[in-house]
Amino acid sequence: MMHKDVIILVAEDDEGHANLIKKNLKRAGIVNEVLLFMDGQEIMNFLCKKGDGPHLESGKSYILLLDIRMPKLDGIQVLEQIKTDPSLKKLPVIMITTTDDPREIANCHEMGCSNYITKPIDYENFVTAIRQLGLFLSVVQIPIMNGD
Amino acid sequence: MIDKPTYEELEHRVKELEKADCEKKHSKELLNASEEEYKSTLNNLLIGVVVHAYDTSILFANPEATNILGLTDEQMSGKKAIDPSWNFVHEDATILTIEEYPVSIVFSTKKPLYDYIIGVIRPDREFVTWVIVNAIPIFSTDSDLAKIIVNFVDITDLKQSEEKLARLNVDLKAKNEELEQVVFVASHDLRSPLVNIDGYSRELEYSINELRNTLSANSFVNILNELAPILEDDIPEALRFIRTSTAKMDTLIAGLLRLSRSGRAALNIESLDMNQIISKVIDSTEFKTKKIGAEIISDVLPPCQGDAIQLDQIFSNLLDNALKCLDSKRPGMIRISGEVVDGQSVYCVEDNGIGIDVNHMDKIFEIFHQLDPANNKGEGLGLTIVKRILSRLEGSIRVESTIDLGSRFYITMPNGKK
Repeated sequence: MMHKDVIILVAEDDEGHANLIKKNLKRAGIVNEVLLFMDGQEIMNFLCKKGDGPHLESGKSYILLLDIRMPKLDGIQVLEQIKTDPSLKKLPVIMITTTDDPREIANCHEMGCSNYITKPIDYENFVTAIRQLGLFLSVVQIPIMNGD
Repeated sequence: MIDKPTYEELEHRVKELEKADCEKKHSKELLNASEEEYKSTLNNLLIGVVVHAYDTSILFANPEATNILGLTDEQMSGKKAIDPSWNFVHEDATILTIEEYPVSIVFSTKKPLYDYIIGVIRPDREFVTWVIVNAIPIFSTDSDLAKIIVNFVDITDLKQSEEKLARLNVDLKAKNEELEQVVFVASHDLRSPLVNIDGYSRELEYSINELRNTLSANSFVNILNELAPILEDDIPEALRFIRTSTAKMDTLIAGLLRLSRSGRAALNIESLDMNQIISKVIDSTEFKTKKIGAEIISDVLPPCQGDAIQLDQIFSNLLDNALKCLDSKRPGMIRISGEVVDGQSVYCVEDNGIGIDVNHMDKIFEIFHQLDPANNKGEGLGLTIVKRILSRLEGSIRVESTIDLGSRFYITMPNGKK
């Protein structure tokens, strides 16, 4: 069971999407803290402990839900930076995006994402997808981030 | 003792001599005339002709040769120097060495040289003059090299058009890639807002249900009755239209993406056993075919040159359409046949369905066009994709149809056998 201390990071430039994800995770029984980041730069600042705003704390566990099309740094760039950084590499990253382009999916997996979810437009399917993500999150083991 | 010739004999001999003299004169005239004709032919040819002796020295060059090369007769024969900036170049712009001159190649190989393309860099021209050269060795009776005849045609215009075409092709390729990128990004960005439109419409539905439940649970029945037209009719109707349109928009965008991807798929062109491909396609429609009680039969089909995945797609789409357009008044019958016509494989998918009105015939290949949207769940892309695939495979499609009798779609593909 995912520990309730695990913090869910959501990098998503569309506030509506972020809100729907949050709402439905809650409905699926996921009550963990959710932190929202509006673009790729914001999430990298958090992870690399730069700039104002909240920073990653060592000793805590995180999971990142990452959109692809975002201003400043896109999700692919963020994924690349995370997976090539020895101190961030083990952070589980779930891509959650509107595109189902097979090349994009293959590319993200090659770069080391943990999972790839396409946001369905039909809301019933969207709800189902997020509920299943919630169920999945409730059974996975998430590593603790080390200090540097 | 020799008999003196008689007067008659002498007269006869004189006449013979006169006749011989006359014939000689005549043949000389003929020879002159023929030489004149030969010269005028060579001088008026739009082909450069240079005749070299066995030692490669120049015996003769016609005016077109000097004209194309931009050299005078004296320069050609080596009596006058040639401008050092004058050069022969290869197609890759490197300068020809003397050994690479057509005459030198024939001189050393003793074999004809065909279709040798070289450029002439002339000091009086900004551009390269391109020529296609043929050079033929002529041997004497004792099989020694006697002459080398070099002839060449100015293909500068052709070469320039070729370069222009190549440039246009590069441009076109870039534009095409750009367009596909636009479609891809647009499709993605257009879908994002739809997630919200559909999502929040549904959330609104949840809220209204909650509102209704709260009102009835707290016995605000009067208010609930008053609000009924809004809560039961107006809002649900608005939400229904919003959600139906969102679903439609989603289908259209997914279609655009599919079309964009179909044009991007790498092709693996090989000789295809169409019997195998068609039987696979028929198998995959089996469920649907049985359900509507139709029958699909296939004749023995000729092979074609194409990509297996794309041909599977073409015939899947055509069979899918044929099954959709069957007439419920009679048992559905679909037949696939094929023959080789003028070196091309022509396949026919024939159905006994409802047929297509002649006035609608042009529209069926249009993107997103559906003849009967109310009764079809498709996106109106099947034939658009078929046409697009065929144009990539150097094939084509045409349709014949009679209303109430059925349709025949003819697919022409390269057969591969020359």
